[in-house]
Amino acid sequence: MKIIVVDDEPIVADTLVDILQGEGHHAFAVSDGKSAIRLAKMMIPAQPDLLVTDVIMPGMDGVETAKEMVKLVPNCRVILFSGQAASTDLLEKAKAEGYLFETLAKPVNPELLLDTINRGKDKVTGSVAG
Amino acid sequence: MSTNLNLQYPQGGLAPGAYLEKVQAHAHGVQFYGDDAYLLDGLTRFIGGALGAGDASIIIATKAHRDGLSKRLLGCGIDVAVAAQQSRFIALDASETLAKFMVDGWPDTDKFHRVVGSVVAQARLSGRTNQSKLAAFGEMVALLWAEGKAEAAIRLEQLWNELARVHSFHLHCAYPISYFQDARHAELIEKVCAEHSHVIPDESYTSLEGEDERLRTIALLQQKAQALANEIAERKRAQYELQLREAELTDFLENGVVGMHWVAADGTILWANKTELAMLGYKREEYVGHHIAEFHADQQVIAEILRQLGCHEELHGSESTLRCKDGSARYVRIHSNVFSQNGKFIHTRCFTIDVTEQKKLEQSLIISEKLASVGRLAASIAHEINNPLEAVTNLLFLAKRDIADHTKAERHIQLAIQELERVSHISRQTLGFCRDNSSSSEVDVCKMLDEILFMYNRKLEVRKIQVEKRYDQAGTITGLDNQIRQVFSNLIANAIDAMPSGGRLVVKAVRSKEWNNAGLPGVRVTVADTGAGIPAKNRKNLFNAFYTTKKDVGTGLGLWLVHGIISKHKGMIHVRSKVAPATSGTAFLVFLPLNVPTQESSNS
Repeated sequence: MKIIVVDDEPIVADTLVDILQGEGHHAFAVSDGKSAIRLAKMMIPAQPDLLVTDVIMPGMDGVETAKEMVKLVPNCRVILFSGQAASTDLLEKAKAEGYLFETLAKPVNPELLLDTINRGKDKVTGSVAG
Repeated sequence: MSTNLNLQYPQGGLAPGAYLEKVQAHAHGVQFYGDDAYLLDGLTRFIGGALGAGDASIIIATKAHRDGLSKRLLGCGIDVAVAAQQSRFIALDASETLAKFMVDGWPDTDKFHRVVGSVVAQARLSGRTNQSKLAAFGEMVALLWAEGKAEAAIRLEQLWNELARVHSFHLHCAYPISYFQDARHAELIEKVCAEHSHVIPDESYTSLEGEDERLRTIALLQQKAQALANEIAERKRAQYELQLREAELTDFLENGVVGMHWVAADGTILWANKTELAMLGYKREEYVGHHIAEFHADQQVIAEILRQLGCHEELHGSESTLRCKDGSARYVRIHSNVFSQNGKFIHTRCFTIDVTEQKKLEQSLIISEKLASVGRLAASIAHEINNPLEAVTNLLFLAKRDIADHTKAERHIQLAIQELERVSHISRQTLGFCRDNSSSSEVDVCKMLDEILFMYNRKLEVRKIQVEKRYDQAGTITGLDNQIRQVFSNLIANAIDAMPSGGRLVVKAVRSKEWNNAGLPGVRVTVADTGAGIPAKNRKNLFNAFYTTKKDVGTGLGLWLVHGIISKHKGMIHVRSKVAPATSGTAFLVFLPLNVPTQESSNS
């Protein structure tokens, strides 16, 4: 899978990439939402299969980044890392708008993350239903 | 009948003889007198005239007047003893005679006619001829008057008049004018005069010689009477208005919504209004007369208030807590000044405003803000700790995965150790929010700045922030290590946050002198960024607690704490900022003196 990992903490993004690559995925780390979108555009015609991103970040937050990403790549799956109460609100809102983003609570267990990615291989993508 | 008596009367101030000569039979005259001598002179002529003409006379008077009359008659050559022998002179004591016919404070008609009537009849018979006249003088009426029995006195006059219709005689009574000095006697004096056929006013009038003079005097007296009547009316009106006004003011003072009281120089409560008593729940006697300090919870506060008032200072909104009768407390603001005369402290003019509700509201607001801030702090700390924990979780996973490869595994473990160091640092910082009981130590400013910059290394790299260090032999200062670290850490973190997409961070440390008092030597540290800058309107709130422009991050307490720490170290902090796009940026300048006074005091 082609995975874009977004986190404003470089060490977190880097280690996640290391973990994902160990599983045979092609993973790329960026530190903010804008860079993630830029990267996705650069990948065309190839497209990212999965966006893994923190929700609370300076600049564009994770939910915004995810929405932009699915606009760009409708089939892209989204896993969001939520760590604060504020992220719950944003996620609720997105859900209300029809987005199907998956969430994992921080600090994320790497095994759980890998599991989630594997299980959901055949799952519906993150874009708006219908 | 003419009187060709050669009577020697003392001159001056006497009733003109003409009056008495005009006295007709059956006349009943009343005389008002001011001076006893005036009365006696008149009586002497009246009685003396009768006796000298061979007529009879009766006097029913006080002993003093009887003796006075006898003496004067003697002086005129008339010996009353001789006349008495001839039954032509009867002298009776006024009060004794009065007692003989008074029944229950009222002159009894039958008894009067029996007692006085018989005396009169007897005297009439004693005259030389049938034509003899009888002159009678009585002052029983005056006695009744003096006892306050005005109606009885008038009744007695009427009885005398009845007697006069039976026996004819000249009757003369007298009243001291002083008995009629009240305004309400006006009606009564008229009644008295009505019972008499003629009236002799007191000596001040009758000394006037001619008709013209008397008429002139009457006119003047009329004017005076009118003027006096007007003045009385005016006074009554003014008094009424004063009473109305006083009632209005009393109501205002007693019932106004604010508590009011007067306190004497020694602290005794002289007066308090109803509102104040009700506010505190005391009865008047439980409050007024007591010392004001009895009702204040904090003796130092009231002592200071009294001291200030003692110096004739004005108090505006001095706060205090008062004790109510039921034990509860009321928070008040006191507005007071001193009423003094010729510099002497008479009493205070105190207004006591109850602010208990507001205070309670304030306190609950503070508590809820504290709770909210604790919540925000906890959230922010959790967030801050999550990142290194996240990293450590991943790194341990990787170390386990790559365990076969020692180098790789070691690298993962090393990074994990570093991240845990960050967690420890955050933990220490957090505890720094709660207590600061560390002691002063030597702080190497440049070393500390380097350590902090190292902590933020990765963040600086990611955001592509250029770091410029300018250390100029700043040296060491004495202070609380934790707190100073917090200050620089906060400033550097804020600078980094201000540059999300790159910029330049300048950190300077130089030896300097305090720029205000230009005395204390110390160190000046500058943390400057090229971020968007702080608009002027936000600058004034910068160091306020809970002020933040960061959406969901942080507590807003950072700069407030920074300011608190710097104050504790007797240092100073300034901020300069520009918002113009090309040259925007912010610089925080901190001055810390070399030697900090060690204060192991409470939380900042």
